[in-house]
Amino acid sequence: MITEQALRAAQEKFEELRGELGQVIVGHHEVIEQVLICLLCQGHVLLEGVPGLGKTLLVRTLARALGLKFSRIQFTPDLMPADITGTLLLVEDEAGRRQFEFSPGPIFAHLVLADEINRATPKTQSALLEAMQERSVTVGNETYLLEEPFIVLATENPIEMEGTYPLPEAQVDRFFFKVKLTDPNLEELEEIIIRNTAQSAYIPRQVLSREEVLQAREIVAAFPVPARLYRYASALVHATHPSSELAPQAVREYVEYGASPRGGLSLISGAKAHAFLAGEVNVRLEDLQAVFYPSLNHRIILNFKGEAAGLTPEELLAEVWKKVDINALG
Amino acid sequence: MEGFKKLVLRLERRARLVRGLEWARLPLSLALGLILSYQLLRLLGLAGWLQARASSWWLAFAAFASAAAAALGGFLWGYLRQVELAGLLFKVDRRLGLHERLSSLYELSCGHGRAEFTPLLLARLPSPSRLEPALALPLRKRGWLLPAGLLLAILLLGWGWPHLPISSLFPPTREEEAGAPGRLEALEEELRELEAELGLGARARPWSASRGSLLQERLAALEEELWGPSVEPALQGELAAQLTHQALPSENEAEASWRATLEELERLASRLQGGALKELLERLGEAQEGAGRAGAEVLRRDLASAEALIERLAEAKRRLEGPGQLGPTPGRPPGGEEEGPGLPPPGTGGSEDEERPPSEEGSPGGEEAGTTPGEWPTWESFPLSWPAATRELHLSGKLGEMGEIERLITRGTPFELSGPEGEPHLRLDFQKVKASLEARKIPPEARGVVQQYFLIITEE
Repeated sequence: MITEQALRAAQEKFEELRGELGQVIVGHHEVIEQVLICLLCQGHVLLEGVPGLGKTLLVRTLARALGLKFSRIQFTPDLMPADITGTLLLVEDEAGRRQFEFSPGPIFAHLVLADEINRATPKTQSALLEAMQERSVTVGNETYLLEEPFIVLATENPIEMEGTYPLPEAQVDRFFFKVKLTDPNLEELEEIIIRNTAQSAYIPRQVLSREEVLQAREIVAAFPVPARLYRYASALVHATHPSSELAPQAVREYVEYGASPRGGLSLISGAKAHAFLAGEVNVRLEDLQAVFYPSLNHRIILNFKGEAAGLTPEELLAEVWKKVDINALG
Repeated sequence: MEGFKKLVLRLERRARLVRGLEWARLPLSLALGLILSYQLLRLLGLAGWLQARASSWWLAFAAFASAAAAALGGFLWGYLRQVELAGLLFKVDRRLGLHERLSSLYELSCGHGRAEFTPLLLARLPSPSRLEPALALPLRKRGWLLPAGLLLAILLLGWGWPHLPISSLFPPTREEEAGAPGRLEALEEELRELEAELGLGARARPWSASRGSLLQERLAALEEELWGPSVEPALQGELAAQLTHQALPSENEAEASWRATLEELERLASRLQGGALKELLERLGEAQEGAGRAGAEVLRRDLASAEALIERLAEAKRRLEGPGQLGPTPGRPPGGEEEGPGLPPPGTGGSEDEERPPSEEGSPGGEEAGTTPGEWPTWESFPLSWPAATRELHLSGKLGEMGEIERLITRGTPFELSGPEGEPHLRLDFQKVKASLEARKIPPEARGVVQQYFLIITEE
């Protein structure tokens, strides 16, 4: 039962969580919000940014503030699938009988940081992505369910591309959001230095329990959405396809493939979570706008001409947003 | 939730009203634009064909009734069509800054979503005063500037609205003054006096009794007067020919033709005794001119009646062309049976030609068969040497190298007759030819031809 009190309490808890993260992470307010949205929507996050921007710190702080189990996997070319999912070990019991026993891998956590995911081979990446999609791991003849909440935060270094295995588009599509971390500004940089050179760093406290997170998820999923916004989200996704009649000229010219239906799901679910975090009780147009770029920017594949022109998906999405008029939709 | 449903109903009604008015605006503007276009065409003199068929009042009524019908049709089309409530509420949400709460509530009321959110949303709705439909869906007043401007322009042009004080805002022109009601009243008095002089008072109806048919009345009287015994028969024939000629132009030139007719009548009247009819026709011309300018519908409405009168005059002319007419007619050689026993066949010599007695003329205007008034100049006065009631003569004789020819000499041409009655001789009054050529503004290059012609047929 969703009551005014339950809704208000959940929203206040998440506001408190945001404040707790802000005690540790300097700046990156949008990144924190988008990670929280993914948490509320059972979505995985692809974090793109150079090393040293606080990606690991963010995930670790989040896990601590939520009281959730956290694991970190450093992806390397020699990383094997079993190193992620776990493996069967031959063990001998007290009676001297030998038997296989499953030893869970680091994937069995609530928050998993897959650091530099593009450095592992596609085979290993697939093992992780299968777990992300199915929320279960199969080893031998046994399938092991992953405990909710389960969220993978994968990082990519956009600079060092040598010796990497870029994620296939189909696998990138499974990430709910692609969040880009930018360099801190002067004030933020100064604050980062001050905080991290102090004698005692701030240790975040737990403000939410696992059950509270799951309850908040349930509330968010039930958020009402006006029919016009469903239509608008569909039109936005449709307009990213070069063959769409809604597509702007730039999309027709520079896009090879548009966003998949997952993009639409991500838009609406993300908008619900954004409205929840904003203290609303329903989805607004502003919520849709807030999650438009992180929902779709990794789902658009530029053609050769677009890449040669140095265009970014964000630029094309801006054209889409300008072109699709919500008032013009029937 | 009941309050929300009532609010939705109010918003829906408001949306229908706004949409109906929006849909009414376009056809109304279109209709008013057409009316204004017609007015402009009328001012440019390009809409006479329509005026000839209907009175201005009728046109005004039809035009504005059409505009009203178009507006009403558009309104009903907009009002009665289904309103998409989801879109309407979303629009209201955006306009009033309601954060899509109305449209979310509507989704919940339709059973989409969990009902627990309904009280949460209702609690967040603003007070009813902020949800006034008129605030959410205002009328676009700016959009009505176009039809309002068109209507104003139509009224300013004063089409069909002679009683509006708009015309008093502008100083009347001289022509407008002539057509103004006061001026027309003065004309009525003058005309009454003129009619009394002409002895027409008993036949003419009072102006006030039949203002609309004034022109018809006066012209009918004039028609009778012109066919009376005091008018020269040659002039009667020319009058009939002129009226017939004026009735021929196409309908969209009707008004211009009618004015030309009046001018011609004026010219003909100048030859009548006393100059009274001339003055009468001058006044009629002024009245008609003024009517066209000032919107006096009296004369314009009677244009059709005046044309009918012209037709009757033409019919009278055709009657004159019947049996007993003097002179040759198309398809009938001169000297036929109806021409009388005294007239020899063509080529029998000029000595046998004789003047036709008045009793054989049939009716006035019979000379038209021998002359073409539209082509030939008419002369300022008739030669006194012609016997009374002689309208035309057939003279046969040799003319130099041309040999034997027959000449038809009609009254009104610049000849005088001399010699005995059975052997008339022609004498050309060359001064008259010259004066008339100048008065008629015949081009210099054509004057020689005309003069040569008269010299040739005068040569004996």
